[in-house]
Amino acid sequence: VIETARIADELEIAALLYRYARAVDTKDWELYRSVFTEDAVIDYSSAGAVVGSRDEVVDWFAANFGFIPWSMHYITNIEAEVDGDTAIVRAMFYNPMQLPGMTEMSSCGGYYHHELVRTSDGWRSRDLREDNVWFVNAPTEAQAT
Amino acid sequence: LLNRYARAVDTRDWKLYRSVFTEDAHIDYSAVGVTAVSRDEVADALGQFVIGQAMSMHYVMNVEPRIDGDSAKVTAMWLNAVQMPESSPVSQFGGRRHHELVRTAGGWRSRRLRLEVFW
Repeated sequence: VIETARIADELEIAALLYRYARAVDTKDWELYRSVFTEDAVIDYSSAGAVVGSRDEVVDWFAANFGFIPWSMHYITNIEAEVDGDTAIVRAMFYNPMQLPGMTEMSSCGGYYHHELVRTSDGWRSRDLREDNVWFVNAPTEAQAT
Repeated sequence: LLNRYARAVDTRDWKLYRSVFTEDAHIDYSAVGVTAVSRDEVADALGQFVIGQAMSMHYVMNVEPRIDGDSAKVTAMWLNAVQMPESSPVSQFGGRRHHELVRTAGGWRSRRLRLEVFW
């Protein structure tokens, strides 16, 4: 029974991370909100982007991410440490994307570090820190060459 | 277990790396020129192998386990993004990993690994 509960948690957590990716890639900011608690803290500073509350981040995305023709966030290597009603989660992302004004596709990759909490609506993230590790064909790179 | 393997290599945590395998594991990295096959020798060789890499990220996917009681054969696909020295371009490689696993008191462990590199 304990094993079944653990597997159920892992599947729900993976589904939450895939929903996050789908929200960003389809630019569905209501769906994006549903991944987080109301008081969540979200930190995209490693990619030179926004740090703030859920609503601040959604406003930033709506203003700055809408110009991106497409992105695909592949999520792999999900490792969740569940402790009762909280969980620490580490996952990897692989993100090819078409940036505006670029002739070739760009891509980047890194880690997501989430702190999750179990709510009446299922698992939600109350803290996300993105650790962007690599970037291929970044806009600044292309301008330099 | 396969994600722990990737995390061990990418964080250069050779103690964690050892914890993926049984003590007598046979590890075949001949595809990347590593001749050692015992767990501890391979862990040391890998430590040398990644010295020139500023970072690596081993993405693991398409995990296919075939479980038979207390042993299992697992094939998984991997994609590795590697940066050699700082700020040089990112290179990507891909292939498959073939594991033979055994169920131990400490959970599943790999007693045999063969690495295949395609690109």
